[in-house]
Amino acid sequence: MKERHQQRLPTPETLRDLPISREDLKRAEDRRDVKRHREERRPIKLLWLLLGPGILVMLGENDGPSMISYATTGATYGVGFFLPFILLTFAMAYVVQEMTVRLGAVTKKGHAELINERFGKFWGWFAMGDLAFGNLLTLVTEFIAIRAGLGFFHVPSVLSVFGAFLIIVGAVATQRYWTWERIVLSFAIFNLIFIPVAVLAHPVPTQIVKAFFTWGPLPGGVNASFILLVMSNIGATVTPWMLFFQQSAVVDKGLTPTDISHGRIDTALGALLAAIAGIATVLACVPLFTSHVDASNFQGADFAQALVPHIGSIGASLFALGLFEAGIVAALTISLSSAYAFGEVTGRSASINSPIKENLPFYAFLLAAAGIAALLVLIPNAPLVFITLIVNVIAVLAMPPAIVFLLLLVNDREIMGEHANRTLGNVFGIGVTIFLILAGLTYGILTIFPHLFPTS
Amino acid sequence: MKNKDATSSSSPHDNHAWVHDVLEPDQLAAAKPQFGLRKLGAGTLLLLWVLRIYVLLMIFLISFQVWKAFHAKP
Repeated sequence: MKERHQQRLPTPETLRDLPISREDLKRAEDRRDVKRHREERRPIKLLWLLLGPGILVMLGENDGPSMISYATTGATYGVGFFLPFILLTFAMAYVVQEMTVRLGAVTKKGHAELINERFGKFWGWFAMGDLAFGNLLTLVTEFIAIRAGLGFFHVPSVLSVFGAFLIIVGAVATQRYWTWERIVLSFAIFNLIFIPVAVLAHPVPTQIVKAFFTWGPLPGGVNASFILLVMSNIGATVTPWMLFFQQSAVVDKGLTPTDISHGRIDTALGALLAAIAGIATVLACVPLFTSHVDASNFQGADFAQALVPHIGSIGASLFALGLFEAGIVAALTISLSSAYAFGEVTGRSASINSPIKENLPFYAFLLAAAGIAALLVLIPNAPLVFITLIVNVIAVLAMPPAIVFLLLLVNDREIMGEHANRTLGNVFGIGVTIFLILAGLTYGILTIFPHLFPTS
Repeated sequence: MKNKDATSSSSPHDNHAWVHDVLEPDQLAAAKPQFGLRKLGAGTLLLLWVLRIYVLLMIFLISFQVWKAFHAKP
């Protein structure tokens, strides 16, 4: 099977006659460093060079709506069931995202590109359409989070939204994947700002340990609000854009099958950091639970305001900064995932190593996605609450088809050869898929028939 | 040929041997292989269509439900 894949590659003679693009040159510069450090056996430096897509996708998914969802969880349920549940959702995210690392490293093609090639343009455009639509709505919620986070510091909406858009423009204007990745990583690490906020909330360590061992307590038991929050937490962890982003970023970074083990470390580290940040956000809002504050209708910076009496103004300010960080990192990564899919489906170069002047549609699509979302947030009376409510639903609902394509591709031995899923990988992969499909169905049914479960 | 960056490409006669040393052949933008269409079985096609219809139907129903709830508020 592996030979069939290799037969399609050019011979060494034809390779030498091929033109070298700027995209190739920039990627080759990165790979030269990787090669050198691998030969010199410098594992830490090698890991530093190969880290990126996994951490970014996981911390990118800890976005504005996700942090609000975790905050609502902490304020509604306190320390209990949701702490180990968040860890479980990130374990599921790892199972799914690890497959995208292998797909990208082995095939050197993005997710949309592979769907297009293997299943035809019809399914390729459908997948891209789902992604672009879902991403646009999600981007709106990221700008809402940015505005809310900076609004806590009395920054005017126009300034915060326009400033965030300029950051996105500045990052892609580098026209270099490596630089873009390090800029976003430097923002993403501030997702851990929720840890000191949690410390300021003085959580009880024994309660936390007990929650992880007993998956409880669960105040109020299983009811409609609990199920919606479970689905919201799933939607906050495993979403379609993550598949498209990480696979394309792995390709843009130039990872190869030799780097798969580092890709796994990158993804696992990202999942762990994101789970810690998510759990810290829950813990930070536990004082609202113990004080019986009704946070069910809280939006954006409402949490930071409500936390001031409990964790002080410094803690609340850090929470608001965390919201800004969550929004900007997600806006940077999600807008790029849309552009990657657009480039791949339309047969253009899908790389930020390509020059703007020669790949204008790719960059225009990226900036249009971010720009339209930014403008929508600034339009007076725009249905922002409606968009915020609908965005997690769409993410959870769009996941089953996306993950089925992923499983079909990762089991396709003609393109994956020896790196195709094995039995254990499929057991986990299919298990997560069934769980997500059931979660999506429950979410949908509950939204249509809200009285199926008790409401409190 | 995937890459449309023809104008940014360097001539093959430039000294780019090192690029071939560090990149795998299918990493070159101009040399990416086309995998071709995969023949989908009836079961797989049915699954894809069922999921597609499910997504469109659910998004429509839920959007309508949320829109209704949103506009029902005073």
